Amino acid sequence: MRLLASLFGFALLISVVAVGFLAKLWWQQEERAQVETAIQSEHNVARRSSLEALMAQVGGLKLRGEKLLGREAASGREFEIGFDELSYSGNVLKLRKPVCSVMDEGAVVASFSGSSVIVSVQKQLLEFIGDVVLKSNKHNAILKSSRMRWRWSDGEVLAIGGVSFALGGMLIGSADSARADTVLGEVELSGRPSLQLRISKWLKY
Amino acid sequence: MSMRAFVRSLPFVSLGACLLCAAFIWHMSIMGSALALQEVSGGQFEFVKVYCIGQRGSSIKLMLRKEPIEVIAYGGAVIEWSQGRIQSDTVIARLIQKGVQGKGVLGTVVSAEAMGNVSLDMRMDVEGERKAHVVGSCKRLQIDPKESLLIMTGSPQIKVSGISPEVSQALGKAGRITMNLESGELLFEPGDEQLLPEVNVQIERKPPEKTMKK
Repeated sequence: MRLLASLFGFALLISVVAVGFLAKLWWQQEERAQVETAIQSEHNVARRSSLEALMAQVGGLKLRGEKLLGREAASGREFEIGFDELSYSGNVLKLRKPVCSVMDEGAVVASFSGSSVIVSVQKQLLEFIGDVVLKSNKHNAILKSSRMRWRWSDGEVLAIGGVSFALGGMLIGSADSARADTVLGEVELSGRPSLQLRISKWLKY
Repeated sequence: MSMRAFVRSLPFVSLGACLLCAAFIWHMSIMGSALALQEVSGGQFEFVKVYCIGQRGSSIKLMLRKEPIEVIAYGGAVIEWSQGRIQSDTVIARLIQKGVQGKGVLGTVVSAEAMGNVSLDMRMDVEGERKAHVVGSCKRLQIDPKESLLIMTGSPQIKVSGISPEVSQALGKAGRITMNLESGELLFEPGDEQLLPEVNVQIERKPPEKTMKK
């Protein structure tokens, strides 16, 4: 009986020690996590504030939630850029999977999309890279290229490499490069430019 | 069938499947091109090509904000369609968009103009399933689709061959040459330059038929 009681006591002691040890470990882990979260949030606040300061410096961009907001200076059109991931170093921001919508009186008049975009805040320039598509809802036209630069100060678009252009179902074009405005109201194809028109009647209408 | 035989037949089965897929893709591509050809030859719509052959500074500008839409090609500009081609320093075409039921949006050419050193090369249908070959040059060429007219000014010259078996070719000069694109009729006028029209027709002289005396 005495032996059983001593064994039970010993087991209880071991259990208490083990529970204490585990509780200590959990407490330490919790403390470490809290410290890390605090550091991370301080870092994030610092990053975010320095990022916002950088964007407001020249470009007049704003970071709201997961979107960058700005205004095309020449036309006064507003634009917003949605993205999957943001990274920056120096004065250059990089966004992954960007979709930039340009709005006029609340309606989307044009949108840019690509694999990534480099935002040069000081030059007020967005450089889209990889399967870039500029879609103009205003003129029902699409401009595609491998790289595309859009200056949001004056709305100038420069498409470089494997440029293709389509207007509704009636016109397709190709060139090495192209210059255009944001809504594709004027497009200039250069470097082996060609167009194919699909016309209902030729020499009669 | 034993397991071993089944495993052995697997490469042949997959090869067969690949061949079947390839045949299907080929069939679909053939069908696609046949459809496209049918649409073009049906005369429902036509393709017009605009391109530049100039090496430097050539470009095609599209003014979509204008109504009608303006297409301006600079630098060795060529406009090509089923009947022929026009080449010049600058080509301007104005077109409007038109929704056609079942065919989506098609363009309609309102006017076309070529300026600079213009050269024209056309093949036109004439009587008896013949095709007349028209070659010309001028400084300015205008196409008026509404009236089916082609107007050449600025020292225009034109050479027509293949009109009939008797006429080998006709050469014409004037201040202004107007061609009716439906009838093929040519009108030579003094124009602003006050150049008197001049037309030379070359008659085909056939050698006299030889008769064999018995």
